[in-house]
Amino acid sequence: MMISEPHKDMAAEVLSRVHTGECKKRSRGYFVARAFLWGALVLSLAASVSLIASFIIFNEYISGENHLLSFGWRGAMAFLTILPWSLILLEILLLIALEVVARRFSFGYRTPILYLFGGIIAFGVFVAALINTTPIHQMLLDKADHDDLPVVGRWYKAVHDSHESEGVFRGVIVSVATDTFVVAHNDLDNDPDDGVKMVMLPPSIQATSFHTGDRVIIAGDATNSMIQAYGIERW
Amino acid sequence: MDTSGTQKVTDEDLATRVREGEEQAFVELVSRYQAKLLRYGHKFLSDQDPIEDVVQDVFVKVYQNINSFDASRRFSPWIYRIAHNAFVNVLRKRSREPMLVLDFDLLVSHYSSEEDTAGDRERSDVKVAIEKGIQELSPAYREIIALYYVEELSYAEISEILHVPIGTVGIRLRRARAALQKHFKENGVLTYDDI
Repeated sequence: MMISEPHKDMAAEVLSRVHTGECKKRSRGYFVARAFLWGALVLSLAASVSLIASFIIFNEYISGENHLLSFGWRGAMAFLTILPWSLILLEILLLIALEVVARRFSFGYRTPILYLFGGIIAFGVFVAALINTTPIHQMLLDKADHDDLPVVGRWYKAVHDSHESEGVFRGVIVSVATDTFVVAHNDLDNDPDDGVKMVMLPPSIQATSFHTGDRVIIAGDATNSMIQAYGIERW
Repeated sequence: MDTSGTQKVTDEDLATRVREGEEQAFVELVSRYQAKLLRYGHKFLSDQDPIEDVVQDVFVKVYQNINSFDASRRFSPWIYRIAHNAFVNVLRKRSREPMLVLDFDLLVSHYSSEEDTAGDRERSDVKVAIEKGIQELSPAYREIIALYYVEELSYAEISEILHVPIGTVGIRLRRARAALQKHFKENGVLTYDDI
């Protein structure tokens, strides 16, 4: 096949740049390193997504806040209000970043966006559940309680917080009467939610259901040191 | 220079030889793809754009990145992907006709079959119609019409070039054809369905 002049010109122009050193082939090692870095980024994002998801789940169970969902619509609203929204927002941003990076790979761009996003969420939840079968979060919480966990320690210590302004209280029962009991809360941080409160039980709950020493989560309206409860659960 | 000896050599073999440093193999690859990429560029971009310069830059990128080409895969989608990125960058810089930021066709799966789209008669009819009206379409529609009807690439190849699911290729092509037909009807031009 004869190469016509215009074709040769374009190839010749590129090759002249090669000969002058202006245009160089990137080495195989460059592409291997680049693929490795992208892969490492995907793994890092996936690990972060899973760890944060597992911590959020851990937080809800260890704090007892998951019981708010059984307290009717008021409890559900309180649950939504006190969720760790900054962490959830971070999680969403990481999920989006992971989706964007995953679409650089053929398995990513061949999959519709919503399906890929759903797959990433499912993967994150699965790995989060696996993480929560290990004692890692409890160990980190113990370190945080001893002020031995930098950076993320404050997130772990926040597990102990009551959310009094949202009508959610936590404590240990110190005495039980006919239709009331007294709870004490002390998470050793010397803030206003520490102390003793009297809890007025709703008609649907019997005081005999509870005993001294029970750890409870309470949803209700507080006036001074008295709580008119609409939901109480042991945790 | 007679390169008839390279006639039966595949693009993938030529790419492998370029990787090994054979310049003549690169010249042959340019000769095989220059006209195709110029045609693709003329359909995708406007005549005001420096299409020849962009295509030359595409070949520079092909040379620079030849070591990333996997010879077990097809060369054609690989070079068209480089060209696609180069043309999209031209459009972004021009920013007169922005590409879709979020294409809703990418969100969910779409069923599509190439058999639904074109037989030989329709392909040739559409090619004629394209010469008359493709510049009136949006860039995303122009591109997919050019790749399928002019460059005669398959759904799978277009999926690899545009980095979209195969179903999205089908749905976007159907919408592009509908937009082209609408343009012709509005301008009182016989469409390929009328031929």
